[in-house]
Amino acid sequence: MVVAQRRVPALLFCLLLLLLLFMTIIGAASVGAARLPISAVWQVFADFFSGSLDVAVEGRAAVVRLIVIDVRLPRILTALLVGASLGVAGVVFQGLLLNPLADPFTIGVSAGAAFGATVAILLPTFCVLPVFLAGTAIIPWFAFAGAVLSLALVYFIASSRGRVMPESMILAGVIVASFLSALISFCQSIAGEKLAAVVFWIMGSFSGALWSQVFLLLPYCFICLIILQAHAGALNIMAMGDTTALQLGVEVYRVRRRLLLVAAMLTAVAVSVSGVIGFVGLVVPHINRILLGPDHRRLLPASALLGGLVLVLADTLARTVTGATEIPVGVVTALLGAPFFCVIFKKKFHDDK
Amino acid sequence: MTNSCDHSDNSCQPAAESFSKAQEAWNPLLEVSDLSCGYGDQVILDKLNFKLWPGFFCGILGPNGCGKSTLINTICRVNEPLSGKLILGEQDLCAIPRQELAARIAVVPQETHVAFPFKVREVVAMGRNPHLSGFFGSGYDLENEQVDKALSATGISHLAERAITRLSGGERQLVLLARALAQEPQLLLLDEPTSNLDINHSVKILRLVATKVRQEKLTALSVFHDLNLAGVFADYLFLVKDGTIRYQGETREVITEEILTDLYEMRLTVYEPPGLGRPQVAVRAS
Repeated sequence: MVVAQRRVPALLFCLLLLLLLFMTIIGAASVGAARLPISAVWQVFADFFSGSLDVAVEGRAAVVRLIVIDVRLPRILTALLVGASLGVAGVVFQGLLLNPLADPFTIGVSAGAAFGATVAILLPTFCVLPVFLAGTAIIPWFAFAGAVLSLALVYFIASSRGRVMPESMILAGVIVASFLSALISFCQSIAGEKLAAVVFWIMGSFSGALWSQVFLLLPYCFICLIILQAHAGALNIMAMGDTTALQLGVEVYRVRRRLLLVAAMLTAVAVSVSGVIGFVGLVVPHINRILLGPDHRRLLPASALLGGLVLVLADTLARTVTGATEIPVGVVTALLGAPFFCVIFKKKFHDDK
Repeated sequence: MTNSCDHSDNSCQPAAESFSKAQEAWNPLLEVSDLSCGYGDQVILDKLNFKLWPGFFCGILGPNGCGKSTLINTICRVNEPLSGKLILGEQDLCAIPRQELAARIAVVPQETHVAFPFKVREVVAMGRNPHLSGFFGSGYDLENEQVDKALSATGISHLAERAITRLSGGERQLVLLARALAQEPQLLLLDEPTSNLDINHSVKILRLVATKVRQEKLTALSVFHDLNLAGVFADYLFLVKDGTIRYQGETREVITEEILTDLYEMRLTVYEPPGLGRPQVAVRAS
């Protein structure tokens, strides 16, 4: 695995990330179809933090406030929360499965979410739905249900007598994911004019993010992140292997079950609101491992911050780089993430030799 | 750490009769009765009965594959016993919560490979996990007095900030011993702790354990591969073969040509070097 020769001070690193994140949010709120001056965006944030957002403003300031608060900020915050979730889930999966290739999608959760979303998109063409199920608002719920069901299936396949072994979890994940991918392909082949919607959803996007979504995501992610952070020490001990961890008093099988579940639920909710966004959950943990070393107590918060930062940047690129049309954010992360990962991976191997 | 356990000094070697005296006077720390262990349907050790007393360094000897490591893993409950009873202190060992058990039993493993580049101090601090209490109950504190004590007792304070992946096998084993000492156990289990080490590191580690056993009335049970190290360091030996404890007794009683020949199915010469007062074993080339 990655060897950190000289570690970066974790607290400094996190403060730097926090600063960068804040600057990125301001920047991301100012760019887009309507270009807003940074000072105007800053004014909105200043109003927000001073609690004077209730005071009505007029003219141009009102427009800026409307765009920033109602249009861009929910999207930015959704990207931030999803990025943080994917970064943290990646760290946890790599640590739990003791596999550097593990990422939030290794265990088939993304395929489940994609299948759920596909079903939700195609359902109206095949049957008449009751009113409460109509519209695109149901897609995240179907995606979430799909993710949870595939997680349950993977867990059922991988566990025997209440114990889950890392390698069987990965194997079961790959099997379930390929089965679901085939199902998705089948659905796509009969999708007709809905094909574009299915493909676009799977590639990942934050368009249409709403405040209501942010308010659902925020406590959910926060609770999951707190639970995972509280197990950071146990994760470190479990990185020494099952036998050692048992001898050091960690209930390995119970803790692994709990953490797999929490990290998978975090992934499930991230995928269900955004689609399949690759590479964040793989690259972010590796970068942090190189910079900070293997201690999960530092890796988890740093990966939440870096994951959020990366995805806010990627989403800002996705919605601005081609002008009028948006490109899927999953395409941006893969296009930029893969080469970047190759470079640091190559460099790391070179350094080790 | 030179000669912390000099063998001309009697503090390291109980007088021959003290073991049997201790057996009458004290309560055993661990009492094993009718213990069968193995994996699933496969019984590897059947109906073992033995006791371990505080202040004694006990050893397990036996040919490869006789189940020595299985026994160690069963006592620390990495494997659940198939049947039988293990009493630690006055409690049923299998009913003790795992975290509490780890505060009483520590293990020095044979395999010292560590996949992640944790700092030595972090690895040793993991030994404090059993003593932590908290809502989630797992973790460790780097700035702990016991961590510093364990580091200096094993003579590796100067390695504290190094990554464990960059150490030699002997240094790594010292780190794992330090981690076990940081657990402050009543019972220290060692699973062939010196099998991959040179003679210097082997003796260093066994002397450290022997000193702890004498001075702090620690109970130690170690699997030995090297008969000569067992002859020098163990007070009492369990000789395992064919799924049972074939012989047990004080070291000088059981390290005999007759017993060892039966155990390993080959002729071995047992002798006592002058001044050592402990049996040693020699082999013939043909």
